[in-house]
Amino acid sequence: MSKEIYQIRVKGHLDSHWSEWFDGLAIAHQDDGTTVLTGPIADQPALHGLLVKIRNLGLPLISVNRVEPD
Amino acid sequence: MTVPFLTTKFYIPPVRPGLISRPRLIEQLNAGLWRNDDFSRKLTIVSAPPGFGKTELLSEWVSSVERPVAWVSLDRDDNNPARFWAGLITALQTIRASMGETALALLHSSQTLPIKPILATLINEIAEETDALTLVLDDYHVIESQSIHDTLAFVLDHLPPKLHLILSTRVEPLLPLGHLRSQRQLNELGTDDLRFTFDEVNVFLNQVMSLNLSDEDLLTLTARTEGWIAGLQMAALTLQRTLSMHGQEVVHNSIKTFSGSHRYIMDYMTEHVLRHQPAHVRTFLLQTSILDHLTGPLCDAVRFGAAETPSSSEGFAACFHCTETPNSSQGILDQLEAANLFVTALDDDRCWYRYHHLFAELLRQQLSRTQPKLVPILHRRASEWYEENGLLLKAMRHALAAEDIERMVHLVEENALVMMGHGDQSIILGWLDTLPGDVVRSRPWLCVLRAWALAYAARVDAVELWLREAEKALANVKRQTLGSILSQAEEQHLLGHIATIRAYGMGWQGEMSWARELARQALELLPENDLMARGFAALHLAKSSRWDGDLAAAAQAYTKASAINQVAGNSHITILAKCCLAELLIVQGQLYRAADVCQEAQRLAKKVTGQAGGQLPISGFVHILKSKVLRHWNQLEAATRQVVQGIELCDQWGQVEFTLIGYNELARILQERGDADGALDACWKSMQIARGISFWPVAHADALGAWLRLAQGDVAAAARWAERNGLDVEDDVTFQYEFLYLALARLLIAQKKTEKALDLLARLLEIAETLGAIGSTIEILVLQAVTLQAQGETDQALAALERALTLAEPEGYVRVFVDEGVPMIHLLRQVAARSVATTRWVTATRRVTATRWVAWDYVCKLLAALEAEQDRSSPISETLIEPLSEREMQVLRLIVMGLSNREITESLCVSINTIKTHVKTIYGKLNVHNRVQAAGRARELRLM
Repeated sequence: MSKEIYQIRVKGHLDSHWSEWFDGLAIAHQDDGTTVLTGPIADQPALHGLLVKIRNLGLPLISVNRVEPD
Repeated sequence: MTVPFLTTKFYIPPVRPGLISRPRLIEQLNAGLWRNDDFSRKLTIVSAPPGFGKTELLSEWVSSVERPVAWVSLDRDDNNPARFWAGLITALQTIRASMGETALALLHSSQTLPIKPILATLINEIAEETDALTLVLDDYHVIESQSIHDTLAFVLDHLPPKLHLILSTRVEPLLPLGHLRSQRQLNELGTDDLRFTFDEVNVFLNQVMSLNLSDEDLLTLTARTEGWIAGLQMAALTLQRTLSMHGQEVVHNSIKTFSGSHRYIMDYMTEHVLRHQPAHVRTFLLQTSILDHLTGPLCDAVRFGAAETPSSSEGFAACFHCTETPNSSQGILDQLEAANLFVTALDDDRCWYRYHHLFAELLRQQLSRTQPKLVPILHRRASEWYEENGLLLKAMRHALAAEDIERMVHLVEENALVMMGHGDQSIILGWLDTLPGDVVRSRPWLCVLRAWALAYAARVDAVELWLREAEKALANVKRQTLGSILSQAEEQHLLGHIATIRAYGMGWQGEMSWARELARQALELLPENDLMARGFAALHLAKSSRWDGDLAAAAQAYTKASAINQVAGNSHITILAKCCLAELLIVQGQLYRAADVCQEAQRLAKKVTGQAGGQLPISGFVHILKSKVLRHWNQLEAATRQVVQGIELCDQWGQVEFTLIGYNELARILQERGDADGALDACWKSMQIARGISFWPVAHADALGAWLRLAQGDVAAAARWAERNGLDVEDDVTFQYEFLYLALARLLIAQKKTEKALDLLARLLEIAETLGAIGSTIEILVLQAVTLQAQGETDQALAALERALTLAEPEGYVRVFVDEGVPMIHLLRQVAARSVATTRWVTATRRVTATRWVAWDYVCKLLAALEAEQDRSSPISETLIEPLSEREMQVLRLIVMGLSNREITESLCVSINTIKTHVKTIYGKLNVHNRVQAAGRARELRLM
């Protein structure tokens, strides 16, 4: 069972050192002032756990997308 | 006591000095809450991400309101339903100490009870309140248990009008909000309501934080933070420092820079704020960030480890142990609070604090980034401190965070048994679930504990599985060449536990002799001081002895079980043991002692539920037992009251085994009161329940049905019962089946098969006498007396009756004689006559007689009761003093059909005089004076 790749977009630029806190997701700053966290997430509970972490930091959540690997 | 709650959990957070007041929101809250002096809605939800001041707002609201408010600060450990509700009730008890006492006692019962009836009890108690009460649940988002959402929805559905609930949460809770909204029962405040407005930003930054910013700067900051309070707090702290070090111009510039950046506000500020703290404070903040709640001694333990802290067994309870030097933990906490730096005091004594959630999150992230290896060590230290101070749930939480399996195992092994004795079996099961499976299976004690938790939770099927795992683990441990880590004594102890639990399982499956043997073994293996297990084993030894018919051994074992469990503080099992003892005493014919034991049980139950006057579920059984005794004493009205109350209570709590015993009793009582239909109805109800349990109670209910039919004169139905069950007088009769064969004996008597009946009765008597079952002995002797009398063996009949009377008199038995109706009246009159004669002879001759003569008063009392019952319109038994002859029956039939004497003459082809004579005889035998009465009597006696 391979992990799914997700892209999570939040408002604001998150420092790259947060990557580890978010289980190693890659952190990319966007020009529109948002940050995209990208990476493999093991399962649904893990995904929800991540969203809770985002919520706990007060980061406004904009979108969550599953990405097809190219 | 179960694992205690930290008292700060129920403190209402004091209004912090460094905050601004938010009157507009207070007004908004109140507008949605009140109508005149009562609540206009059931529920208020304040929902926003962290850092929007939800708790602060509610704390301000509470201080503004002049009504009683209870507060619960929820945390992850409240995800256990029993604990959640216990917490809520404890909070309500800060308003009134006795509120929800019964419900709380039921939650702590070691019996696994369904929650909704417990909540119904709670709701009823709250409904009696006259004041408008509010209950605040802070941080409801930590609750993930669907069961809790469901039970809370249930309570909301039935919420007493004088209670209002306020939930603060980060996310919309899984409650029926749509429903509540449409019913206009929901008051809501969301993120947009909570954001700081420009005016509020102004007050906060310029007045409270003394920053002296221009309107332009204020606007910029408001826009950039979007009114996020936490962000503004961070900004304020940074700007304060900038102001004091670099002046106003720099402040203005840094605001401009800040507003132009997208950087996550907390990142922007935290570093800044942290960097400027003294090193020891920085370290303090990082290291203590792993804690949910902070207090001096705990922080010391976490920072320095147990070795270097002053050991304080009173721990948090006595704050005067905290040293107050600036670098001590307590000192730092005080400083942080004074500087308004992210800690909130939880109580007025300034003993306990917590970090702002957001700030704690940031600190934890920094800690795990910069010093990852330290994190488990810190958690372990916290776990140890919490364990020392009896806060086991937190101790386990930190052990889990430290991923310290050894520590987790230690916590379970040390505390599980005591916790389960107080109803925390679901917590223990949860703990065991967090341990890796192979770890649990490798440790015999953990396997045993799991078996216990399952047994307590009534999941009997899984129990044997885990007992086998325990035995496997034990064998493995012994085989270890490094030397067994278990001593001989420990091994015995373990085996004792395994035997105890197995006895329970065997008993459950009906394997009584195995259960008895195992229970006996268990008591030999278990150490004297293991009260919990010994109490359990004693109870099962008693149950299985009772089953075997060893009544004396059972009585002893029940008394012992009751004593052990009482010392162990296990109220539920103590009361259960007393009930079983009372039931046994009734069988042994000790009615007065049985009544006493019932009183003891009731007193104990009252102690558990306290002043509130609620009833424990087991009290239902006590009522039923009391009704049994009362029935034997022929106090039928009182017996009815007791049994009805008992059935209601047992039914409410789903205690089916007791409910059906109740219905059996009710059936007998109703029959004896002359309500034949009611009796059959109760018997039917008993049968319905019995079918869902096992064949045993079904057989009982069936036999009871046969008894009722016989009492109602339907011999054919009873005969069908005997045939259906293949009962024969040639059968080998055992004590366990006594009830069946007594019913068969009654059938045989009704069928006039007196020889067979007497034969059966003799065998039954032998068994009953050998075992000391005096209750049955009396009943059998009575039946013998009546049967012998019908055979004309008057002397033997009187001998049997006199024996019965001698046994019955000291305990006040009445009913067993009254049940036999008219034949008994004749017999008793003869006994009385003999008694008088003997008395006269003794008085006259002044010689002591060897003949037992029965107390005159007692016989008179019995006769009076019998006569009183005969006077009632419905006779109890169908036996006429003198039965009608075949011819007379024919005539009666025609009378009932409404024929006149002349018409009967024509029908039967006999002379009118013959008919008249017959009619006169019939009237005499039926004890009536006219045709109408005759017809009525015939119907009553079911002669047609």
